[in-house]
Amino acid sequence: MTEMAKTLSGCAPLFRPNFFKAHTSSRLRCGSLDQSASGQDSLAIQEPSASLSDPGILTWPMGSPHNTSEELIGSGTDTLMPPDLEQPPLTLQDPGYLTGFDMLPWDLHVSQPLDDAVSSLLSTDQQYGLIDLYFSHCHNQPYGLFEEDSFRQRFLATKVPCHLLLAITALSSRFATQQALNANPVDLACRCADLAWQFISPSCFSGADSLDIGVMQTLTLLCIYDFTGTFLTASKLKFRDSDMLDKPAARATMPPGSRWVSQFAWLRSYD
Amino acid sequence: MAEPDDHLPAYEQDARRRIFWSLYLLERLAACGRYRPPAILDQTCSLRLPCEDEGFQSTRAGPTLLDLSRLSPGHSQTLGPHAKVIIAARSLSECAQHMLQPQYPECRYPPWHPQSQHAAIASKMLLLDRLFALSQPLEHVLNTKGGVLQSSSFALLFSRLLANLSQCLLYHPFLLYERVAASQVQPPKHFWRHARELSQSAADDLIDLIRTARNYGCSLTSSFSGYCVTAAATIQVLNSVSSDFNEEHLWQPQYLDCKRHLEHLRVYWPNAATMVRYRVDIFVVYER
Repeated sequence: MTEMAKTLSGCAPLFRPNFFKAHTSSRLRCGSLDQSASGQDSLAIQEPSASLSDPGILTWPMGSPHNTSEELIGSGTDTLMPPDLEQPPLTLQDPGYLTGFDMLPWDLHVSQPLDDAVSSLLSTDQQYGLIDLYFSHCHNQPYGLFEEDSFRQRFLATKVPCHLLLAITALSSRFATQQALNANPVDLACRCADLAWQFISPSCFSGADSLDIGVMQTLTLLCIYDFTGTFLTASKLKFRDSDMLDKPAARATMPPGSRWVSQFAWLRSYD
Repeated sequence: MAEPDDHLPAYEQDARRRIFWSLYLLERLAACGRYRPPAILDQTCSLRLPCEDEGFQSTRAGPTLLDLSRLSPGHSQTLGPHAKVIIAARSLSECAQHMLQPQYPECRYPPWHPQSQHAAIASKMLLLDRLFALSQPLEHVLNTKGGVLQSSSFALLFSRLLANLSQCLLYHPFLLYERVAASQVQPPKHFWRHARELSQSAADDLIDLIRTARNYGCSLTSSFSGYCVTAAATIQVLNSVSSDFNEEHLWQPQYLDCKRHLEHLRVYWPNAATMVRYRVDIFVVYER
């Protein structure tokens, strides 16, 4: 067992060593199990923290490793461990990096100061939980930027750029409970998004011909964050002004204030 | 927007495609409102759609948007779930632009006229129906492993959700009424009945989809699903006042499902709470 696995096993109950084996099945099964356990109708509404029993334990809503029951994660043996991180890291010159997803060329540089910023915002356990929430509540709904298994492997190998991690956190933290985050989820999401933006904005407006793909993924997630559930914000202007696309500045941003909207309010409620 | 460099590995090419198409998708969904025309023009998108392989490893990317017009229904197998979402979002955007924006001068024909834009979009929607095999039950097309819904099924669900929403907008009683009123022409005798049946069918399909997904343990928590459900709910209620649909048992269960979904979403999304709050003006009358 690697050092990483040992570290992870010490994160119980939020995280377990074979969590990444179980995450795919547990994500959806947890929901169905919760529903059946409650004995309620399949469409019954449950609060995210409804199953919280011990306020001292970090708890995640449906899809969390904490919610994973023993029967979902198997017999408890570590049949699928995280990748061996004691191997020497691949470099761009190694042809092997093209064959797998455990390391991608755009992951090879991670800025240390941003690492510190992330650590000050979120503990390792919280990062694991928020990534799990991202894949259970945001991924493929309908934006699909990543391949889930490879992303998790890269995260375990600490090869995910921190600004990308912050952007993911910004999207997924609204699905976490305040108790789990030790902070207001909306405030935390805002702080993560702002921090991610601060770190990538020099790249976005540097006038370079092309952007690092990790930066583009971060920027895309920040655009999604700004659009969903918020009114027109300064960050939407970032999307508009970004050089990533062929100047989508022509996109109209007129406020919806017509008589149509006042007559038929659901059109406005989406803004 | 052109294809990525051929020399890049297949997965990186597809990762780059997905970034652009995610932004395209975001923009198309953002354009589903008043005075919000999309800025990315379809004819400038020569980038191929994402591959069907969830592992991003396939060297066979999908067709381009421009190729779709030449794509036969038999080739729908080659479209991956993400490609279907993008195609559905494009159709939705077209419907939304037509139905939600103010009347354009070129829309001189009323909706029932064969040369109208409405009829043209309706025809495209029929093609989309065939391309996506929408008549096939959802349970038959979802990708499950050991009774568990796989990640790609979320995208497939959304492609159907957007296709159903397109139909809802195209035949929405309120929006259609405004469009007919603007044409200042008396509609044919059976026009409203036909439109009502189509809108009802689309709304029922949309709500059934949400219900089926929920039964599979798949909780659609995207904020956009609130928009979809609200559109379907308003169709249910508006149709309920007609003589054919005023039986409570026909629309109440569907309406309640919509309301449950919005109540579920409002835990996460403030705008879902707004939807519930503004809907009260419409729904409270019928709840008494």
